[in-house]
Amino acid sequence: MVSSIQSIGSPLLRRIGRRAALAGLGGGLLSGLALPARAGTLPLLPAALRRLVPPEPAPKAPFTTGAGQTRNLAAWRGDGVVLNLWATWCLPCKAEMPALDRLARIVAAAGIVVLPVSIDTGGRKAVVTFYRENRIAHLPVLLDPEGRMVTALKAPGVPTTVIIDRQGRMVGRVEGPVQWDASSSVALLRKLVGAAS
Amino acid sequence: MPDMRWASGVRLPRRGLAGLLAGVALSAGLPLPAVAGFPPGSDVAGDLPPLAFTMRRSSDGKRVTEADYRGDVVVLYFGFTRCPDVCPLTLHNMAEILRRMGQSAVRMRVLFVTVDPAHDTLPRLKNYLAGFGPPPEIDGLRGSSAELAALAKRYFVQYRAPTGPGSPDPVSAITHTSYVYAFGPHGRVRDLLAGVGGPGVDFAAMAAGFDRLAQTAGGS
Repeated sequence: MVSSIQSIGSPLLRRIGRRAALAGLGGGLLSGLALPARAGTLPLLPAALRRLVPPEPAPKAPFTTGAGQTRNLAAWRGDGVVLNLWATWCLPCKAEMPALDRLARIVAAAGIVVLPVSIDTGGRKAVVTFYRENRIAHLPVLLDPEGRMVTALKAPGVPTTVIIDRQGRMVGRVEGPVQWDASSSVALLRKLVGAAS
Repeated sequence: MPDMRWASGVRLPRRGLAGLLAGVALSAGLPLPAVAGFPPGSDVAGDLPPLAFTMRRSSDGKRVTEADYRGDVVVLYFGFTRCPDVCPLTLHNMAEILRRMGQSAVRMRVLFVTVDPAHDTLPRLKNYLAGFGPPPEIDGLRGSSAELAALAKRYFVQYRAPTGPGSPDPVSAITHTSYVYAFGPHGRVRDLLAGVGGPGVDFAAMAAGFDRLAQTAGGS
């Protein structure tokens, strides 16, 4: 859907700005799924972020892919990482997922990855169903049904998100949903993870 | 005992609830032996009244009271399904504790009492709870405003209703401190457990504690 907007390239689109157009589209998509009626109503990252100064080592807890392979964060050293703990029973988690999906596409070229890790005990099936029903196209299926990442991060609830820089250090965390695709959120994220080497 | 004056719509400050816990521990008289595995100071046996309620159950819509749960270990948690900001992990962690209990989990009844009955209809509750585990071990309770107020008042649960989609967590002290009420098999309140929704839950210890409580349920 997003790529089709880009390919239209209409003068109208250029005038109102791609972000506004995405917000409009996102609003339509979201309201059909009983998520917040208007996109752009979640907090922005500059307001929601808690900086970690000094940075802390990223957690070593493993998680599994939808294909059943075990991974941990060391695999992404050199990239910036947005690690998002969530669950399909968590309303604010679901509310921010479309924004995370859009973020993933926006920052992919900059070597920043979005890793949503679900703690659903329903596992892969619950996540895949949710992604399909909400047309999440750019996010991996990652699972932590035993909540090891919750423990490692001392997450008080979901959603909890940590930002990891290219050196593998946690530089910020957020509790609660964020409008990840807003320009101020994206700009701050780029700054936090540092320049690509 | 700290002043526990109940007034609907008034938030109980967190310190007040901690004060309750401290007050309860001090006024407990002859201390009961602690349930091994539960945190020290969580015993409230004799200080809160026995389980009593009338509500509808989400798994089958049946009207139930405490009599339907004689012989089981009942765990009450007060919450609502549409957390606006951060969703507590209490139910999720309780489900994990049940998994670690093994066989004695069959005596457990984790009952999620909605403080938002206007939004949390029986089908919504049932659907929500299905994500954590099946009945009868995990189930939902929904009452009228009066039935909810009676149960909440009985256990000093503060909440504010109605809730809107953007409203703050209506169960102020309770959810933030994640108190879970554990009742022994004869409906007598046994433990008030804090931190079940938080990080760093000692699952092994909690499972062992509930195992012990469940084993006292005997063969009824």
